[in-house]
Amino acid sequence: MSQETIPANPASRPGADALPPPVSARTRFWRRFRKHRPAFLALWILLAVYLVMAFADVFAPYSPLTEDRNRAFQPPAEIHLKDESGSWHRPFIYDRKKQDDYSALFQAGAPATMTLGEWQEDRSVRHDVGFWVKGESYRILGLIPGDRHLFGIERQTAPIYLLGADNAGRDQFSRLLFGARVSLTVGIIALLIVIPVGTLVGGAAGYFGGWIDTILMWLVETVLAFPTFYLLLALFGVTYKWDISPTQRFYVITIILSFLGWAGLARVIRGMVLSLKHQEYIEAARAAGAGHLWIITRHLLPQTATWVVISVSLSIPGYIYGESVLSLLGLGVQPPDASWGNMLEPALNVSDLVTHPWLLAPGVAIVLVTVAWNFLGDGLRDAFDSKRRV
Amino acid sequence: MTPMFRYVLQRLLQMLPKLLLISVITFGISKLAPGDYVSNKMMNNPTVSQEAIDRERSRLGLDKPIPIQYLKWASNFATGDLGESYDYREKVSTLIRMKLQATLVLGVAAFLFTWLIALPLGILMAVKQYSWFEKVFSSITFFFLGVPDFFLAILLLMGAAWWNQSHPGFFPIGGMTSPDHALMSPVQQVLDHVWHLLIPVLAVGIGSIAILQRRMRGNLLDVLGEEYVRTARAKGLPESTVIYRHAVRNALNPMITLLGFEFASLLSGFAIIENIISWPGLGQMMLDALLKQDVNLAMAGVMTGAIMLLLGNLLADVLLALSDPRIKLEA
Repeated sequence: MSQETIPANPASRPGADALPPPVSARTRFWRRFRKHRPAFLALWILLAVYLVMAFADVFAPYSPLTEDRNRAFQPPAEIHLKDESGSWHRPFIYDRKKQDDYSALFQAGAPATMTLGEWQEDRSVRHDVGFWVKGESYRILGLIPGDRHLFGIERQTAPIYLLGADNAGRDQFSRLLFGARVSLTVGIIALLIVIPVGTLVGGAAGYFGGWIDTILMWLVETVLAFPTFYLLLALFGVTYKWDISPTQRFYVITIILSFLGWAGLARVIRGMVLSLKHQEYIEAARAAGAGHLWIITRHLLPQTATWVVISVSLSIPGYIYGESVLSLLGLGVQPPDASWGNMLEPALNVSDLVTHPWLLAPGVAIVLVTVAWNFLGDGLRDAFDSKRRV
Repeated sequence: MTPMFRYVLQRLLQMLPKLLLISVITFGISKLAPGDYVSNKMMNNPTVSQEAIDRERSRLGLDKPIPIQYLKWASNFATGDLGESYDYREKVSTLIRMKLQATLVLGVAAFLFTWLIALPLGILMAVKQYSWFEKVFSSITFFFLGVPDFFLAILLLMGAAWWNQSHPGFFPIGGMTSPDHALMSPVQQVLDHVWHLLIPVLAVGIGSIAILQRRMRGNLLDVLGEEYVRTARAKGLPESTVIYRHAVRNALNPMITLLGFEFASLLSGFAIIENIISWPGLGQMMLDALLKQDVNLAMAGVMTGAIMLLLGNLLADVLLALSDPRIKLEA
């Protein structure tokens, strides 16, 4: 007979150690979230976009306001490796010249395909694309000075417009990066107002009930009954006439958008608090002498945090949309300051758009970021949703 | 008095204080802007004398204190008089009636387009769950959830303009009618309208289809997991009967509430697209009115929008109660 005996405790039977060790809720959440591939990818894309946005001064070859009216609607630069004679070089571009000389069209030897207003590459000089080149000086976020840009043309002999130029001859790529500062942060800053106001109002209404509930919910219902778009128009119709700095205008936009956002959040939080407040641990806290505010903020609202995080990540595209629509209609961020919405404004002129399709770039950026936020929100919801646990 | 009738009456009464607050806020906001209609219109014109400006102001009642102006507007509004537009010098009700048709045509067309496609698509996607068809389509709809309607409109306009380069005048670029609309026969006129509706309806409809379709799919998937569906299958009903007779009917119930919200968006929901596609509806007129501080017209627009929203919510609750006998109405 062998030494081995079957232990009495079933938990220590052979094979029992094959069970996974217990994992915390946070680890389980993180594992489920990583399984959601698109959401994980979206998270990385968004992190990259926000990083580039923060250091736009370095990543963009020019400032958003640098303009050259003679280069309005210049097409995107083509980066070459091979020159006319067929020999290879480091990446370079040719400068572009607009064919605006009428008489040249009729000169002997002019190519038959040449048309007025066409942009042609000047093949005589190569302009090398360099990295970490010296260019316009800047201060990152108003603090760190510098004059190096991630890429650009060596010694600035010609401009490089990766995504072409807009109607005032400004570099679209640079403006896209700087415009993101407005378009992508409006939502996040608005949420800094929406979350505290929405959760506190909803929490108070649900917790106290009675006349406080009646009044707060009446207010919520009224805000929700505003025809959103008209209200936005009315508010912006007022503010766009104010003579304020771009930064102030940005905050005005944010405050207005958040004014519309808190009500929906408050209504849902109220419902959750209503169902939570009769739980025993709330009674226990009250018996132990906790104040109302303490119970609401320390015991009730944390229970709703999951839902708030999800709903918030799903609501950010709404703010991006709001800002771009208003700027597109000329009520939000005013040119020459860049936002993705007002960059699309020239695209409203359809005949311009057909000949200069690169004007669509900000719209593509909006779609990309919106889809990324949607995926992220979806992934978070699936990861939090314990019902789907398999 | 039936309970339903009393409920509706109560809800209608509850709307009044909300509308009051909305009107006060909107009126107040419209007065926050520097200047007024007259100063916007005339101040920059040196040929207009100061007396003329003052005369115009007192004619429109803009020289009175703001609370008085509001009370005057509110008492007129309460009696159903929307006042006169400063800019058009025409009764606001007449102006709205003129633009209403275009907005309603767009709203109804978009509604039909969305629902007639989204519901069958949602059902199909639920029935064919995990098939390649479902996978492809759900990625497509997820993508379209991220495309804002105004950008879709711009893309469609661009496509139309591009096609028009080789086929001049094939697609209409904005507007509601062709220049020679008045010369057409009635049948051609209707077709002309439909042709002009194509781009705006696609622009607002595709995003809504994506949302609605996901809802329908989710509802049906929930219902398909219910006990009574298993019972229906167990007693040997053919799968088509189980799905279309038992499951779909119950999955449609929550969708009925959405009809109320659709109603709410009928008048003000497409204002953005109207402005981008130059659709001659209420949206463009209201944007104009708000910017020019044409207060009577702007207020009428906001109030109609608010009333439609409140009525839409009521409609949603009533429809839900009618479709689901378990729900009791409590005001």
